[in-house]
Amino acid sequence: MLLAVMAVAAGPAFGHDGDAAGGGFIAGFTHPIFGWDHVAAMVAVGLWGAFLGAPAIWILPVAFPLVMALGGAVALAGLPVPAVEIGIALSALVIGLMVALAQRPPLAVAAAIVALFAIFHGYAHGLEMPTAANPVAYAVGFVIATGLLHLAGIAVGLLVKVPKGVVAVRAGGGVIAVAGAWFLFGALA
Amino acid sequence: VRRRAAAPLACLAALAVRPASAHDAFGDIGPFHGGLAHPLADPAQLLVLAGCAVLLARQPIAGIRLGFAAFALAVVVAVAGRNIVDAGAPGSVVSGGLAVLLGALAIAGQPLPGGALAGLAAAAACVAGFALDRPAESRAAALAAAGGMIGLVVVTLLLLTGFRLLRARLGGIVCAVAGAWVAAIGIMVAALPG
Repeated sequence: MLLAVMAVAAGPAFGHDGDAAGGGFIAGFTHPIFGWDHVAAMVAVGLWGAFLGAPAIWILPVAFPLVMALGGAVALAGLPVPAVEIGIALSALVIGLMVALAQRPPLAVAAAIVALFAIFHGYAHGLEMPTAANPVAYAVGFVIATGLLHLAGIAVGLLVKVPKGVVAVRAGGGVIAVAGAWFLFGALA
Repeated sequence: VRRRAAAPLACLAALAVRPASAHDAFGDIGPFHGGLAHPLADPAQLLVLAGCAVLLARQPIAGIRLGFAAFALAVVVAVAGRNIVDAGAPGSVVSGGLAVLLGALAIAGQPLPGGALAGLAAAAACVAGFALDRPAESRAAALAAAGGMIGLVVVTLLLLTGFRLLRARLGGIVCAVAGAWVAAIGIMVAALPG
């Protein structure tokens, strides 16, 4: 009877089944979302973009994934990037502070700051890629998740258009900066 | 007793058998449906189609018509040619590189000359068409080719429609951001070993 139950219950072999939709994509999609340091930095990028207004509101979320992908390519090439975790923690701290302190640097400077930190995030994601069941699906997942986190930040950042919204957005930046400081402490410990 | 139990056990085991799908995202759904659903199982192929769709969505309506017509025609030629020419699937550098180009042009958002747009759409169709599976048996190959042609055109049309609707509601920024995502994924794909 045990054999009968096992025979009925047996499903197809799922060693790599659906890896385009499962093992690769899901792993890539959850990598930024389940890492609070990534989440904080991505949301901060969106917040800052919304805070700065057009054209930064779309230039920063466009620039970030492109440079992030270059960081991932560096990881795939096996080239070393030092202090990746510190860089990721600093990204949340610095960009969070930019929002909290209402900093409005020239667009090129803001884009350069975001792009610099994007390399560290991309490198961290890229290190995971060679072990993914489907590396292309993994890349699709983490780029989409990163973009969605930016959009979440932008959505919150659009509060600047309502009365007292600026205070709320700056407070959000402050919370992210504090979290970034905590991540930095953890990375240095 | 064991012999009496063997028959129902065998029946149960026979009823419970399902196709092994260890390396097939959808199991054995036949060559036609396999070709039809191929873009959903091959992220690199879907990436190229998304790049083509987002680029076309950034163009004026005349460019969309020309580009999509060129794409559909090139799909037919590429899939039919793939059954004649013994060429393998395009490598990750080709797929990724093309996605980067299509995504970058979508970010720029400039209207392209008709010839360039048609050429890019045809290139995307060729890369996607040559990525389809090619069964050895001739009937299965014909069914896979037919399903593949329809799948590539329908998936691209759906993506194009989606991007156009989003663009109409939210502006060209949507296509720029989507283009950035396509280009970013393309960079990663191109950097993959092999």
